[in-house]
Amino acid sequence: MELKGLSLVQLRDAIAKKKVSADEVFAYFASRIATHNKALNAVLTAVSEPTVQEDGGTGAIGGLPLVVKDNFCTRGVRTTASSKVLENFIPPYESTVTQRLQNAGYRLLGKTNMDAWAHGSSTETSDFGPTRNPWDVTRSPGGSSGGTAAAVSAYLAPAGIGSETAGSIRQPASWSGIIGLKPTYGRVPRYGVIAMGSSLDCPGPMTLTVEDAALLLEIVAGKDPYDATSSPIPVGSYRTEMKQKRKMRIGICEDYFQGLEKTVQKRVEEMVEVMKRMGHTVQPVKLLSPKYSISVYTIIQRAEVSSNLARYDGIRYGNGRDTFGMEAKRRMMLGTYTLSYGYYDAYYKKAQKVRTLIINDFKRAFGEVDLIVSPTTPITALTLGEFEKYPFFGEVMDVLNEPAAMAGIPAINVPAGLDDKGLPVGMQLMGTYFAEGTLLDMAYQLEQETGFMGVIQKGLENESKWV
Amino acid sequence: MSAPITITEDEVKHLASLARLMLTKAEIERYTAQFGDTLEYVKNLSELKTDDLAATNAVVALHNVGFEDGTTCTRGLSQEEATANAKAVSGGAFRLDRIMQ
Repeated sequence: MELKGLSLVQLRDAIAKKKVSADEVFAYFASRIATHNKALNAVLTAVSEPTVQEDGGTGAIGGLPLVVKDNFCTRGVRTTASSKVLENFIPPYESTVTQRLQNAGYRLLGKTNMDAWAHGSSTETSDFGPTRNPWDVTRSPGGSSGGTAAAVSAYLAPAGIGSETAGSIRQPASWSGIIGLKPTYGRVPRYGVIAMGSSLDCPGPMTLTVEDAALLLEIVAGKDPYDATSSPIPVGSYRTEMKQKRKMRIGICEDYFQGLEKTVQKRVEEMVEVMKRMGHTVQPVKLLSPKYSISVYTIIQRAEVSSNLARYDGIRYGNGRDTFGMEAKRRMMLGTYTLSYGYYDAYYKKAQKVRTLIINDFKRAFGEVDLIVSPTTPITALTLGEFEKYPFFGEVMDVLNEPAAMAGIPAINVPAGLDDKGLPVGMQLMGTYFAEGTLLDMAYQLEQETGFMGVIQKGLENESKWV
Repeated sequence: MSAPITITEDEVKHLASLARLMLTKAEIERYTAQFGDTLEYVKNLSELKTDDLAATNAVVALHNVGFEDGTTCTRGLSQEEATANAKAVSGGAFRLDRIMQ
């Protein structure tokens, strides 16, 4: 049976109907990785033999293979966060996300490349080489979850897990033409995720269909007694919420439509027209300019990074601190600066107060609208090497993603068509706290109505480009 | 905060020491130049009034999250597991360079 392009749900049905076995499905993707990964460098550690699943493959994703970003600790399987510091690190424990996936019967296909320590928006700060965008291998797939995005876009895996601190799921999903969901902070536990910014990190699914994202979110979301920041709010049935077909009030903030590439603006505006034709209300909404979020994020994230990366002493695990890459060192030092005596109030405390402003701003806006829509990124995939021109590239690139990240609200990227170079354009939907069901509902409606302008189907035809 | 922010090489060396990082001379020079750019940008926060606001430490307002008495710990590591990735292990403990005479 032809497997190419099948979603998780379709593969699961095929296995259940015995059209194909779980082992055959695994071998199919393992073979695609063996063939194509050299050209794309999406996967750092490939798992060649599927692990035996105790539940006999009857879990919600029984027998299905996934790729996982290399900042999730997978017991017994090398985990590096794409850094030379952890080049040989074999975690003695399992992250909660991958443990829950295991409980649901998944099989780990491989650990994917990322910006080292998730510091970046292009996967170019990886100590193991950049990942290439399957749409154009001279370009970046985005970051920091670029490896997962590229792997899913190239169908080296039917779906994967990424993480986001400020744009690291949505932006690579946008540049690689797939779906990426950043849940509400605290919705999905961070236990076992190599920490970047502890008040910001959000694990989330990266998929080819909205239903797959809903399915994975149901499996990994929920309170974890070992993550004190994980939310006790019960996990709904996202796949049910996804099919509600609610008519919604969509907010458009003009500040999020500044400085865009022309065709990015056009594609998103066309999608907004579709939403109007579908009967949703589109209205203007006022929000704080996203440029302030860049500053808030730069300060808070780098401060938390300087604290989190202090644990790498090269004694208990990993290599010494002299093996940190340039970007990591830069961020640790700026973070140390903003936390140090005499500067703490001016920088860190001020940033935390502006964070409160951003939160209040969104709360007010979500009293007026159900969703806020904007482009995910101002531009489409950059050529490799561009990022070095900026001293804080990641933060500038993610300007449209940072407000939602600072507030902790959920957001999803969906493909909105292609630009004039044939590269994917992404549109994001932002919702209020724990409104993942609302996001998935609208995303599913758009998927049914537009097929996301054929982007994902087209992505499956990129193979000839990978040399 | 109206004068352009400059950071000196001495400050960078001090930060490197606080962050337990060993930097080369070239790195110190490069970072000294780059920090100024970043710090210049984040000045824009002074445009916003925040006097009456509390700082946000955590977006999800949870308080006093604890473990229930009697909960079994299911995620402990054995000594062997905990030291499995260390460069030097002695008698089941991490071995490191002597720091005191």
